[in-house]
Order: sequence, then C-alpha cells, then structure tokens
Amino acid sequence: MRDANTIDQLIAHRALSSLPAVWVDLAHGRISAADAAEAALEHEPVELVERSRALFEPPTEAQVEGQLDALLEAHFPEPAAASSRRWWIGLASAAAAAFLLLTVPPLLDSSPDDASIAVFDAGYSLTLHRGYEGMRAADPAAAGSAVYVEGRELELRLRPRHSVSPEPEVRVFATTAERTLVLPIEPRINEDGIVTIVGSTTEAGLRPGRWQLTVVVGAPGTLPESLDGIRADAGSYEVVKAEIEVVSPDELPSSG
Amino acid sequence: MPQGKYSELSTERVMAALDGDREAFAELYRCYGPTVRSTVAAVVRHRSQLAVHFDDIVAEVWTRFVADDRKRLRSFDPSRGPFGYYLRMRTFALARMLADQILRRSKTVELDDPFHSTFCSDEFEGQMLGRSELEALDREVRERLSEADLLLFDQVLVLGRNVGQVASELGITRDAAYRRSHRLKQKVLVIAQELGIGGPTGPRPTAVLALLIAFCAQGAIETEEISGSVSEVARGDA
Repeated sequence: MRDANTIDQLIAHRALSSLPAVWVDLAHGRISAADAAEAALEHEPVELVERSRALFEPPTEAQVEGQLDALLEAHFPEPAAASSRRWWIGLASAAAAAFLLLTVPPLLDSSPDDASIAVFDAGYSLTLHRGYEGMRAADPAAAGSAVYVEGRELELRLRPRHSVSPEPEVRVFATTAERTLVLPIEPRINEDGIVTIVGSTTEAGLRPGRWQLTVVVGAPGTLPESLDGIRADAGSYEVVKAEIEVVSPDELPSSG
Repeated sequence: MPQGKYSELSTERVMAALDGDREAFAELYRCYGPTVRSTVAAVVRHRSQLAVHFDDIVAEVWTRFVADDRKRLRSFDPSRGPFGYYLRMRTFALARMLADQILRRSKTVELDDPFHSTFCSDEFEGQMLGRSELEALDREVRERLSEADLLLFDQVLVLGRNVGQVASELGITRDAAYRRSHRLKQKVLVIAQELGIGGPTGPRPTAVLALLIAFCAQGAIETEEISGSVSEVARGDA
C-alpha cells in the first residue's frame, strides 16, 4: 500500500505542477475568463478550454460566503450565547475594562500597530540565478540585470545579513511599462531566513521583455498587497529590486 | 497572506483553524477556497462526464476536511512546508477518490480504466513525502522513462484521461495501453526505491533486483509496442 501511495503522491504532485498557470490565475480572479481562454487555446483543444473556463471561473462572493456559512454552521458551533444566568459575566468584563482604562493608561498610548509590529532589519540582498549564462551580465548581482529564456527556470535568492526569526514573508512584483504582476511564487525559506524562489518564467507570467522585479520581504502579515502600497518608511519589511530580461528561445544565438 | 499563485495564511492562523477557531477557519476558507476549487477542477477537467459534479465534489471535499474535528487535515506538519501545498495534495487525492466513486455509479464501468486503480483512498498513508523528494522522483522519472511511457504516464495517470482515448491516439489497442500503464507503475516504483523514496524501510535489494530484471525485460519488448507518432497525442478529452 505504501508503494501505491508513493505513486499516487507523484501523480498528484505532477498533476498540480503541470496545471497551466492561466487556469490557476482565473481561479484566483487574477485574469478574466476570456483572457485565460485565449491564452489556453494556444496549448489546449477548444473543448477542453471551454470546459476548463467554466470550471475555473471563480464563484461570486455571495456564493463563497454562503458555502462558508454552511460549513461554519455545521462544524464550528458558535460560542454559547449569553444566557440570562450569565449576564453578570458581561457586566463584570465591562467593569474590569473600565477599571483598566482608568488605571493603566500608559499601556493604551501606543497604537496596536506600534505594539505588534517590530522593526524588520535583516539586510536582505538579492541574487539572480539560472539565467542564460552566455548572455548574463558579468556580475549579475551588481549589474542587477539578467537574461532568462522564456519557459525556462528563474531563481531568486534572498540572503539576510543575519539569521531571521520568525520566518519572513515574501512577495514579488514584476513590472513593465504596461503592467504589474504579483508573481506566483512559493518561496522556500530555511531556518536562517534564506529565501529561495524557483519557478519558470512562463508560469510566472513573465513574457519576453524587460521586467523590473520588486521583492518585498518582511514580518508576516505586514507586506503590502500591491506595488502602490509599498511605503518607504515602513519598518516592517524591506524592499530589494532587480531588473531582468526575458527572451524568446527564438531570439537566442544559434550556437554558443 | 497572499503570496502569488497560491495564497498562504500564517501558520498560527492555520493551526488555530485546525484547532477549531471559527474566525481562523473563515480566514482559511477564504484564503484557500480558490486553491481547493482549482485543484478539484484539475482533477475533473479531462473527464467531460465529471464536469457536472464539480460543485458537489468541491463541497464534499470541504465537508470531509472539517468533519470529525478536522481530523483529515491534522497530519499537516508546518516544518515540512507550507499549508497550501499540503492542502493541494490532500485535495487532489480526495477529489480523485470522489470522482472515481462517481464514475463507478455509471451503468458501464470500465474496470480496466487506470483511473479506478489510483487514489482508492482519500488518505496519503503514513507521512506525506516532502515536496523536494517528489520533485527529485519526478525529475528521475522524466529522465528515465521512454517518450511513449511518459505520454501514457502523463495522459492516463496524471491527467486522468480515458485510457481508451489515449490508446487510439497512440495507435495501439486499449488492452496494450492498459497493460503498459500498469507496468509503468512498477517502473516508477523501481526508480523510487533506487532513490530511497517511499517504502517502509528504504530500498530492499532483493525486490529492487527482481523489479530491475522485469523492467529491463519489458523494456526490450515494449520498444516495438508503440510505433512512432507519439507526439501527435492531443491533450484533450473527446
């Protein structure tokens, strides 16, 4: 049975890693169904595309909340409502809160953000790997520019000056003059806080052209959702940037 | 928090949700809802007869995940990787098993369909293999299987397409495709055992030797079984 289990896991792993990124993007609402279908038609037959388009289309918010409510109702019982016998618990809590407000004002002076977010100072540096060796700049880290072949792997490595704990969170934005993407990454972070991000340029949505990568690394739960949300004075995360170029395999020199 | 292709919630919130925290579970559901849906979609999209059952399977997956105090998700070990990957793997196995049950309800059940011989259980028994182990095994399998074997592996076992359709695209009989896909599993197991992946106590020399002999013997026979044109196989479902 364990042998069968190994194969099943390999099949699951393979099926999930080979699922075209456009369908995942559609499921997450990052692209429209029309755009996903158009992109998928380059690789998949019409019938499969039409079926996939319907399957990966995200549900409405009302549907999501309705399904969630049903699950919560059935499996997560609400804490018992205050009964008439327990009314005094609420009253006692309110009294205690009022007492604290009057007697411990210094604790309330700082905002929740100030209290819960420590300054993140790891001194992360970014290096690029797996670029097209023959066309890569002499010193990729210093030059900040590397060339990657469309469809091949891209690797980013973030190294802190010192060990980082707890495990940081990472987000990568890629921008051209026309568009900004949040890269679909699954960073591997080791116990020292060294972050490795590996993925294919195609899966990442990086089409041929020059891209500016903006990597945000910082305390969990504090990273900006969008590029516009990055604040220079934010103390909870660091920002490092690099420029890359993605080229079509057709653009490569025919030899060496 | 969202991290690109697949959103990730902090480990603390995931653990709180698994421990029964109602609010944390709501966060988990909203965060991983698209992940679960897209994984189920990946399971059913190559079988047209399963598409109408898609929403039912998604709902059943979530119901089973939260049933019995989230028992099915309690094998999650944060030290072995993010929850998202674990959840996708578990969802895939569960959805494939549920899809198999639906297919078996039809009037004509094709018992030689490999779809029915994989994922008979919704559990990955024992500890789930690490992602890096699976990546290493996948690389090795891709390196060592022949082109024809790889096509069968991907089309029939991975995508879950009907073995008869794939066979006709390959220009071989359904029977031959079935036998070959069955033998494929043995080949993959040989590779896994050589890498020391899976199995209760690592590689077992006698078993490995026997499988290797079978592997080599079959390889010689099978090279003539499929004649060219393997690249013409379309990725789709009739």
